[in-house]
Amino acid sequence: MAVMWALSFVVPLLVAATIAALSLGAGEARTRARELVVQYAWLAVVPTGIVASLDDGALKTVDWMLFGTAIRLDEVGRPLVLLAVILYGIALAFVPRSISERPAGLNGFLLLCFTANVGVFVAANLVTFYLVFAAMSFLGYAIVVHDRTTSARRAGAVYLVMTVFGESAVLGAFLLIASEGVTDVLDVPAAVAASDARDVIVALLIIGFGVKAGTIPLHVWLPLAHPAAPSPASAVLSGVMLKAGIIGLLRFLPLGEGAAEPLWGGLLVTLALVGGLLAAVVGVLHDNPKVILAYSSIGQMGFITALIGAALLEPAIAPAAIAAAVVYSVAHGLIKGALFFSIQVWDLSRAPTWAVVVPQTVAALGLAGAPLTAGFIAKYVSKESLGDVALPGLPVVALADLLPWFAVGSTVLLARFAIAMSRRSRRRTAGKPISTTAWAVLALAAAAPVWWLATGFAPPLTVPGWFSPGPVVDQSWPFLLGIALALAAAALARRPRFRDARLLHPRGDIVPEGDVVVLLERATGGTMRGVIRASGVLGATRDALVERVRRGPSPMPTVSGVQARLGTWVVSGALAVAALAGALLFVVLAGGGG
Amino acid sequence: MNDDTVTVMSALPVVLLLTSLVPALLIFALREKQTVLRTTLNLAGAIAKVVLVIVLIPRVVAGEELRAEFTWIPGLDIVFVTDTFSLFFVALSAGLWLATTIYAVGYLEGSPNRSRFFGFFSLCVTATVGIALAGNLLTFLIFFELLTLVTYPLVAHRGTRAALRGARIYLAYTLGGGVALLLGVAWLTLEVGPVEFRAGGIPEVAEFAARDPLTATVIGAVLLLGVGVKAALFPLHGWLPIAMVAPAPVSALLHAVAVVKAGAFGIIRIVEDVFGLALFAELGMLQALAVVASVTIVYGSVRALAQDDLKKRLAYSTVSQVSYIALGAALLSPIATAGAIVHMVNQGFMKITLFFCAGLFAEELKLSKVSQLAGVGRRMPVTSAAFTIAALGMIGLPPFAGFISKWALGLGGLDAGQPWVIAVLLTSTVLNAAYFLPIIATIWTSPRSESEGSDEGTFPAPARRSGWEAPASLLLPAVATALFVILFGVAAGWDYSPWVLAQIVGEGAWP
Repeated sequence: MAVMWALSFVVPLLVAATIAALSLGAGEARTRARELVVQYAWLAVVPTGIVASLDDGALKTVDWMLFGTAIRLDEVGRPLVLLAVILYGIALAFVPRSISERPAGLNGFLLLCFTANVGVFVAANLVTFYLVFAAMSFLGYAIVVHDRTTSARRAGAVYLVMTVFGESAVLGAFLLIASEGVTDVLDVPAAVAASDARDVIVALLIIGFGVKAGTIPLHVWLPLAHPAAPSPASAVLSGVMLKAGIIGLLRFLPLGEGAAEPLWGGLLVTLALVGGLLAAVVGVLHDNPKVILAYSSIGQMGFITALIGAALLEPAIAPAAIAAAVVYSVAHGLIKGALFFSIQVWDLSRAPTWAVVVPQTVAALGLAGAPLTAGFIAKYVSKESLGDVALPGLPVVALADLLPWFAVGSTVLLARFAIAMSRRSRRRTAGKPISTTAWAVLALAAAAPVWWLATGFAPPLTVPGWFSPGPVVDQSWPFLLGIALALAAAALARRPRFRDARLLHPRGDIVPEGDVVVLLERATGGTMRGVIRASGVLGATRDALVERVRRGPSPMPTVSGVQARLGTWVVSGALAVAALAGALLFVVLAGGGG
Repeated sequence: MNDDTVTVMSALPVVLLLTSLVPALLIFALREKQTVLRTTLNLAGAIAKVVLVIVLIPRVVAGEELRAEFTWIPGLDIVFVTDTFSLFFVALSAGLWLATTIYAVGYLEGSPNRSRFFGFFSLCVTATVGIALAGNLLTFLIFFELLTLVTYPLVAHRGTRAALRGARIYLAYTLGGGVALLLGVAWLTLEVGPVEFRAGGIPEVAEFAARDPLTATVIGAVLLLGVGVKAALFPLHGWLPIAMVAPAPVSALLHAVAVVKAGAFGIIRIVEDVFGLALFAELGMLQALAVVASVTIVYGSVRALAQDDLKKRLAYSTVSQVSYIALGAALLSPIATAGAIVHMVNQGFMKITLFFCAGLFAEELKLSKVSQLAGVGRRMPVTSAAFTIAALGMIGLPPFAGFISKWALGLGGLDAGQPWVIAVLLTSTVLNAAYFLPIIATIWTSPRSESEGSDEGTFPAPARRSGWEAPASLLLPAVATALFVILFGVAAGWDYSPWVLAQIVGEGAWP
């Protein structure tokens, strides 16, 4: 098994290295070889898929690496690793046929991201986790800026700034945790709960992983990065990479340990709920399908964060909430990935339109949580896992009753997505039947693995029967309400009176993508300018001080005066004689003792 | 000193010195045109030194200590010792010297006064090895001053006005430091007699400090002032950004191999092997050093942020990064001590890579400003990759070498009960990111047209038959050191990695 794991990390890295090596220098043979490697790069995820299916869950260590590297595949990590295998595999197969320039570079970086991303899910100690988390975050920059357009580079800059702050927060938290004498991730929650610096650690973890998970107000990079990245890259960015933030929160927050955390739990839940609202309201005002999906991701990640916040509020539900968060992450990853891929299929594939629209619709219904879909199961198990936990300041409303409103928002967003997609023309230039089929299977059959996964977690999870009337009714109203809202908006928009209403015919110019990102950019720009100015002032002050010291009274004239007088041989001779005499005297006096 | 250390009288420490001293003297005697012979001598010396060090490492790790001593004047002994720390520093400078020699041969190809240059170049390394092997303060002092004198001609090498000015300022600062060091060494010798370095502190110094803590504190401060100039501690750092007028290999030497490192080495020697950490803490000096180091870390980074000249930005970065070493030495925790020691190697390899790359950009494309680097990644991908690796390492990202130091220093700060160290480290991380990441982004993602003062859309293609992006003698050292930056991070747990060796060295200071 150890060999298999080694292979699963080394093979993608080697393929990436091969692509890089073949990109140096020109030559037709080289180019052809590179194209071949890029085309079959998706095969590099296969070893990971195999080993993740067969692994026994034991700890594997590599002592010579860093401060001791260790991985372990537990029930939280395994489904996420398999999710990564599926989405990265399809993404790698999609890239060679996409409209992106330099597919070799994109696939190379996707392979590196894949390795790091899988690492995040299996890392078993602090340093290993930090290694792969940081690697994945910074490699993510390469796929965000891949297209090199102005907007891609802006998105990249915002992404980098947020990443640096997130990384620093995570590093600070990890150092504090490590100083408690803990290394294995399994021991971390208890150690954090018992630590004196507990509040600082929890705050740093929420900031650090909140950036990755798109928790508002740290979400600003997300609506810029998703549309900027090529579609296959957006799929893994949204489907798998965001989950690195979730697993960070799951692994390191003191879930189910020690006393309840009303402050931090309440904060996370509140941020999550606001995020769900913001995502729906701002998202529908856009007409770029990728921006709409990005806002949908913010809302969905908020849903998962709410589960984690609830587990902080009530330690007793932690096992169920953690399991639900994993199920929901997988469901969201599969469906959201399918939806991002669907943009490329729609644009480029030669498949007939119905063959694109049907899987697309099934995926969209899944995200909205309609019955018989993956989202249906995920939403139900999540709701059930919460019991009767309520917000600290709001004891009348159970959190479980607020969660369905996320689905209303999702439904409205997806209706908007459908409208935006229907306005795109299809070019039908490329697309291999195999990768398109793989995509269709992913979109149509996502419910099966999610159901299977949820069953594996029962108990603590309660899995709904496919046709049991209670859950179906419970889960249907948000979806139906969302459809009704969307239809009402569409009806209003068709009225001649509202033909020019910007709110009903949004073009994405009412609230720019990234909403409050402008504030961040201003703040960062201002800080940078401030620091640079301060730097200049510091330098000028220092130079002035040095200059003053230099101009001040100098001993040089006196010294040279004395030197000039000593320079005559009479004086220097006399001095030499005196010095010799002194030395002799010293030797005579001191010699008595020696 | 460990109880199981076996001291063996041996000529090997002297041979280590001779491997660079002999080539230096022979090279001075060569005519300018004897390029092949000169290069052979250089490389033979450098390789011999590396081989010797590799042979010595397992022996010294096993607890053997080689020693050579001469009496200069009765009572004043010249002592060379290969304890773990000295060999650690010799290994660092020997390895980087080899890389720098190859780079310098390529860099200076066809330029005048090469015999002079390489003569002083070898002398510079001789002085560094002398500093490393010095077994007492007197020997240390002699080689420390020698280092000042032999680097002056290197900084001034180009003979331009700027070069001469830079060299003069360099000399003023370092000679000033040298005077302070001389004063401190003489004073301490007067008080306690000639004493040898001893891991954990010299007993005589401890006795003296118990008798007269005030004088001991003043002597300690004067000694630190003396070595602090070379270590570029704020506010004694002024020479470093000015001395970057020197040719790239000399910058590498100043920043990574010899000068700055000698200062940092001196700080650790004085803190740990003269006074001892416990005594230094008792005198209150440790806290003072930690504060000065922290101020320097932040100050250097803030100044670096505003520099458009690439080498100047790197120079201020050195000011900041070298103080990581001083900070680690100033924390009362074994893991911080090891972090300080390992950062000598890590900072050395990262910074030398950055200067090699800066030199490559300057030589190949005549680019010396950050704002000119737009799109260079396309034309010089290998150089740019090496630069990126080293810069990410500087920020302290895993799996690169810099992460090892940062993690150790952070844990050490907490272990020593000084949690504010985390704040300093995180601030420095963010600032390092703020001045390195924009360079990386510019290199790789900006179109050439955004570059300052460029009219054409592309760079001229490389004009050499191999099709390589730059001459091999410049490119290969940069690639090699960049690979070590990865290796020292990834393989930090290997038995002979700098991190493991640094822990062994650090243990000595914790009896």
